[in-house]
Amino acid sequence: MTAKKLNRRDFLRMSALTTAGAALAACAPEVVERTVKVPVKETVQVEVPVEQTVVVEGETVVVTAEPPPRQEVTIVFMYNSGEIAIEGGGTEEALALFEEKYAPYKVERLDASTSTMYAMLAAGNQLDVVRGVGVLMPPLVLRRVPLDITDYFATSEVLKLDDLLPVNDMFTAHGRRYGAIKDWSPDFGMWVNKALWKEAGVEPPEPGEKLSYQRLRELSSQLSKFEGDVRQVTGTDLKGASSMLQWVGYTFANSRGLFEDDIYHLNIADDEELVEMLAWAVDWEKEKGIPTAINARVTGDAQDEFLAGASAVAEFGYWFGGRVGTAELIDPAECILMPAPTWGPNYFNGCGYGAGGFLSSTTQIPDAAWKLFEWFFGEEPAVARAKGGWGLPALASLLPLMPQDEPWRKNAYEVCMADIENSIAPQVASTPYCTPWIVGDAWGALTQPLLEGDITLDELIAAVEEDVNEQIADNMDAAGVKMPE
Amino acid sequence: MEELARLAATRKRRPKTRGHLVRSKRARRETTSFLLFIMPWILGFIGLSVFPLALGFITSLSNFDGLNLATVRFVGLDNYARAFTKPLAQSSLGNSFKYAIIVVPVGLTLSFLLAVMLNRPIKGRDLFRLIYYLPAILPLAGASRAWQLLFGTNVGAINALIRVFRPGTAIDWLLDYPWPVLFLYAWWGAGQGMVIFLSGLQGIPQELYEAARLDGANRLQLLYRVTLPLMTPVIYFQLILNIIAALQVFQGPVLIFSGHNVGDPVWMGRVDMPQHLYTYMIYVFTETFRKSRYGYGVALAWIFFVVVLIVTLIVIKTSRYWVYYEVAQEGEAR
Repeated sequence: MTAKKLNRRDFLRMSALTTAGAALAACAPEVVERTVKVPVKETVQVEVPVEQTVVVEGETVVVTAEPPPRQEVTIVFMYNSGEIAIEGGGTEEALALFEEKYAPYKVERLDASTSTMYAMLAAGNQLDVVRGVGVLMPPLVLRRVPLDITDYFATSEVLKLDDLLPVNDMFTAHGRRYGAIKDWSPDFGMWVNKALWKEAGVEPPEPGEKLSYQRLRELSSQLSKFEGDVRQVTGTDLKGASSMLQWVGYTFANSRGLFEDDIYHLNIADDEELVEMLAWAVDWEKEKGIPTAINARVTGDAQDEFLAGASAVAEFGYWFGGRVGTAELIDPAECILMPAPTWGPNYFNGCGYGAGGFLSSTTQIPDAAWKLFEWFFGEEPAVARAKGGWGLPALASLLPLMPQDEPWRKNAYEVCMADIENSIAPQVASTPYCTPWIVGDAWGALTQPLLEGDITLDELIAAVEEDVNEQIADNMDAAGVKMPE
Repeated sequence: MEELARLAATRKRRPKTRGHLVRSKRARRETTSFLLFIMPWILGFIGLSVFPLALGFITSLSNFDGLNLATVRFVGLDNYARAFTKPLAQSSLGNSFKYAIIVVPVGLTLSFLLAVMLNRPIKGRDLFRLIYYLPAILPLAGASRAWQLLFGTNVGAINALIRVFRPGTAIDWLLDYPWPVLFLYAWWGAGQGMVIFLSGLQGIPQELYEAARLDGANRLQLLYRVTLPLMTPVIYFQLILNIIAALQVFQGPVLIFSGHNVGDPVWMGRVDMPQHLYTYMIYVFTETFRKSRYGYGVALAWIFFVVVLIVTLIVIKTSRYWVYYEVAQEGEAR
């Protein structure tokens, strides 16, 4: 570059460009350091990811901006190693790829742990990108744990707003976006082992066929197999049988969450329809139709039981296909994923968990943290996950990558595609003052006395209400929120 | 008196001799060295024990939920009062005591008898010692899994054995007989106590046995009249440790019950076991981590500390009646 003498015209042009560059820089989300280079011909480069045309003294000037130079920082990434991978590589390779692609950023990974996260936040330790769970976000948002990243999403070329599937709304509150889903499932789909149906003399369901809960209850005894008291096959195994309220809240009462009318109190007893549903489900448990505290599975673990060919129907959702595909004791070709069961006219197959992540509100390097977030949720790792068959991607553009090479996988894919619009959880605990698990725990803790007849359903409901409402009051108090009159 | 006062005044006025100054300087140097040597421990003790304890106590007086530093509030003794109004807190503490009352004597007796047996010159003694000690070095999670495999309802080894004689049997051991199963778990750890007893047994002078034999003592009398009295300091030591450990029981029950019938292990702070079987530490864990009641959880822990302290003091106070020491203890005549 040769030195150029600055004349009046050049001076004016440079002043205008500097002003334009500074203005653009101020509007950009990347706030680090702006530099304006000496104008060469009609172009000025500033450190913002935009391009704009401005007119200076009747002359058109293209202002091209580039991102600021990345600072050499280490991003603390709290995510389990088993969940970070790229095609042909595990955690180490994946993080090495990020560090290479986005040098000089470095990543320090920690295992995900709620207790550790709390401790680190309380101690003021650096924490940037954190594993989060959709159903647990409202209480965290209340405590301002996640950073509001709505503006980052607005300008992202990777995580485009119109590409986000509705399930990502589990990470939103009051119209603001706090995170994204890593991968997910419509969790109430049911895996069917057709071989066990045939063995029991029951015609297996057609792919895509929707069974009602009432029909499943009938099938429980037909598909179960005993030798004396020894269970050899579990007929129907439904998730959440240990915490019926959570299950019922997610599935049957899909049109309204448990806290739809009042986020400050749980009131089951006055909801006749819900009590009726619960009574029906408890009767099913009492007749030992589904595994419960008093009705042992063939093996202790529901997943192992299905994979061992000892469970005819298991409610696990799409993600379980990842395990089915590698199972040794069952033939994946004999397994199909069915839609969720129906309750009367109601059908709902939502996401009951929603693994994802967020940026910590304490991060001092939001731009770097966002870059890691964007990469992990939208680039190579997201592609690898979509192809893996362990869950649906969070981006619509990645859906076609889901495995469809075998008929059983193709069927699972189609079931999920039909369920995408139903994918948002009804937020059984749609209150920021209580997680759905607390509701489930309160129920599950007293399941055994209920099923053994030591307490009545009404007594259990009263105990659950008392427990949950006390928890809500405690959480409100801790958050400094007053109970409205 | 006047004479004494005069002498004292004289001593005060007495000029310091060179030897006195040297001694004083050396004493100061020794004190400084002592403090420097002990400082790392003192700092560690303050930083890792005193400070956390004080912070914990302050936390117990607040509504801290693990994150609400901005809105945390002083609640006085509310958390302590709450513990006394919660039936679950009381039943959990009762369960811990129930567990300790049975497990401690059974465990101590078992490990003592094992040690006595394996202290004899029998063939393959070292191999037996290894076999009995082996479970103690197994990870608790692995040991619990083995226990689950033994006591499983449909595929457990014990039921499989019973089915040889009575086909079709499927006893739900964990549901129907939870306490015996947990006590058996304590037996699993008897090897550790055995090793400590063995070291105690090997310290008993053989002359005492020879003298007793000369007096006509049989094997049982040797055990009761020689071995047992001389082992009381070791029993005492083990008793205190075992009581504290038994009252704190947590991992064993949680791991044994995890996944029982309902399929969720300890996950995000959830403990998958019937509430009526909670031990105190399980209750503390669920209140603190699952329900994010950190203030209440720490208050529960402080209450537990006081309870354990009282129990330990009772054991210490009663030890003078049954523990034999070869040297006189403080405050008592030989």
